[in-house]
Amino acid sequence: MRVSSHGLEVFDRSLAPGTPLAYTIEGDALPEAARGVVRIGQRAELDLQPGVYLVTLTHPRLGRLAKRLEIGHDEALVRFSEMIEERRSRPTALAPEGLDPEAAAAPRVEAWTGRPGAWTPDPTCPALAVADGQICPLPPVADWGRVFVLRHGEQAVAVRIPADTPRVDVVVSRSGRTRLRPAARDPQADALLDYMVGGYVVESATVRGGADARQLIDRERQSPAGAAVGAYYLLRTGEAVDVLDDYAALAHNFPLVPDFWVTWGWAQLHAGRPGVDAADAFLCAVDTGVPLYREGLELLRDGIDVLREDEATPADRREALHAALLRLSPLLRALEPDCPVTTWRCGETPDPPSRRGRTNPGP
Amino acid sequence: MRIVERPVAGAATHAFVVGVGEYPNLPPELGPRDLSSAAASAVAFADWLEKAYQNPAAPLATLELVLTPGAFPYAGPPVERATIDHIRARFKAFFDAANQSAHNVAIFYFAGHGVAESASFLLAEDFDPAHNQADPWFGAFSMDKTYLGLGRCQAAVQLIFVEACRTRSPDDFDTPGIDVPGLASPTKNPVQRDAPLVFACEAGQPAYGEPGRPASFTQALLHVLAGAAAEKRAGAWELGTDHLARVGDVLAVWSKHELVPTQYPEVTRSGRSTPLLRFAEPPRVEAIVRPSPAVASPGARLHVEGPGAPAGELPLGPPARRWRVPLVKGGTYTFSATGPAGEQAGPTTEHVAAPCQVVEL
Repeated sequence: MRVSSHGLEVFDRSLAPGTPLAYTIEGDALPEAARGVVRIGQRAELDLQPGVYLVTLTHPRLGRLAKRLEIGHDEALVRFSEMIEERRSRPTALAPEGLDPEAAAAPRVEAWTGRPGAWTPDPTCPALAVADGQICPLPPVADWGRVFVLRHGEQAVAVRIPADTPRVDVVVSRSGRTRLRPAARDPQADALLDYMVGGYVVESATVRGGADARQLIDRERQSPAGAAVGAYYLLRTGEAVDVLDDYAALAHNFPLVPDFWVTWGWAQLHAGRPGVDAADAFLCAVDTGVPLYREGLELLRDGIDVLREDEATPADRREALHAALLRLSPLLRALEPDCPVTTWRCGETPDPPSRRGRTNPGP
Repeated sequence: MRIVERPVAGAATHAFVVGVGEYPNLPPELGPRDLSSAAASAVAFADWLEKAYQNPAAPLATLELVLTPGAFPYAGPPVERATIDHIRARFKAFFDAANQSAHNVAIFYFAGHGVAESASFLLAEDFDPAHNQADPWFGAFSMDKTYLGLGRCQAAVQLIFVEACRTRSPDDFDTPGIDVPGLASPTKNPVQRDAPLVFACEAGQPAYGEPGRPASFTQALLHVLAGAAAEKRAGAWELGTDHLARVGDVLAVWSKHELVPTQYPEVTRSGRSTPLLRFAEPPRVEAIVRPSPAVASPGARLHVEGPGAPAGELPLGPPARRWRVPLVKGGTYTFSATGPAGEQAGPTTEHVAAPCQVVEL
């Protein structure tokens, strides 16, 4: 990128000449930000007084890049690698080339499907008008198992929703942040989960903490996912030891849900039971599959870390825990932080094909 | 180095602050070697602890600081550099002090480089994989294991703040193994504690700061800790551990209006609400007033009326895109502006609430 008091020029051999990039130039010498579109290989005419400016480019491949520059009478040459990648760079990074970056400013949520570099608007999912502080159900689409990009203004969330998710909500916090929330068929569980992961969504005002969590665990048959949220919550607050039998029951009533092995393992640790029992629960979780919730995967890592460094853990379990942690590492590395359920960053393949079965071998 | 040691009878607060403002041997793929913003952040946080921390139930007793100032002009008492050995040694002193009573409060703050892989790792000044080929991640420690290790500490309230990037190392870089240690060994029998772990950003994302100035997250954190997120409970203005999540709201509002780059802090492992700080006065709030184009010019003046409004008129900028108006307390305010040639905008009446709010004029 070349910037001078006369204009802005952008070069990139990997992009076709003429590719549009949105630019924003801000500085104290400008009464308001200069915005426009500059095309690769062409020049945007500008009239900038010498001063300090923040130059932001929305780049189709690299996302949104920013650089603070002192522009004098000489031109400044800046490499893309010297620019800071801004958060929420993914919408245009994932969107097809040629998309008008200015369109990203539209205040609505729209779904895109496909894969990185080949995204298309999803015709089955019309755009949603949303406002700050709102929770909107996303109209159902044919197959939730695909990866979606949800765009809201300049934000985007790329996420793969589990195929059996009954409903997906778009949550827009009052501070303007957009998140996707796979609903657990239970408004109480949804609200508690929101409280756990952010604490700032409108519905969370109704959360009653531990009382809600206990009710959710009691309703395990109606909503196992809600029961998992309740179990995670009580682990955080230290109340799990008061309902230890419930944690055991969850693990044994739902042996194919890894989350309940994780919560049972940690509940035993909180209760001061022998580490070997907790180790077995964690190993069951790893053998059963990937926990539904991100919290579960992280707690599983922590539980394994605790026990494999504990000298009281038998050698064979320590070896098994070590191997389990090696299996979990690529999954943890690829975790999508925006989503409370376990999903991977777009383009990641953290779990290569394996002959190892994914069935529960039992405790 | 222990820079604060005060006699406190009964429950006390013990704090450990680390600032790494320079990485002489950092591989360029992992970020800039000059990180004076981290040093400025650590000094600002330590300064707040020393001068403004108001916890009547557990006053500040000790404050350990290790700091590599780098380009930041540090002028405080002499301290040790933030090498891994110094960090470990001072962490032990901090841990031992906080471990004396279950009624204590332990505060851990780190500002420097970080990497998020299968867990979060923080880097000391002497992180130097090129010259430590046998142990390339010597000079790093696992934040997650440190958190689990703090479960050994008796202090029932523990606050852990991490002002660091959580970007991933490049794919061709030797990623940290699962055996990178923490500053304390994880325990399977942690104490019952209220211990929120607050990261400046989400996993995989960078944290932002300008050279020589406290980074965005630390600025927002100090804004919250100064009382901006306090609530009136039982007749007093109180800030509890559950209010720490409001730092995300502050940053979101600031970034939405281009005061700082966008980043989302992550508050993890919290679930309780323990009273932490008390304030005699209602929280100060901030109104960010965006002028209409008619008055968005240098020389424009803003007039504010309301229960905690500043006296007189406020000139616009710099930058010339908004006014940042400190208000003594939340409430209903009327804003009006006059442009340099007498153009008028407003009046607009808004209820301004903590911690900060945007007003469109």
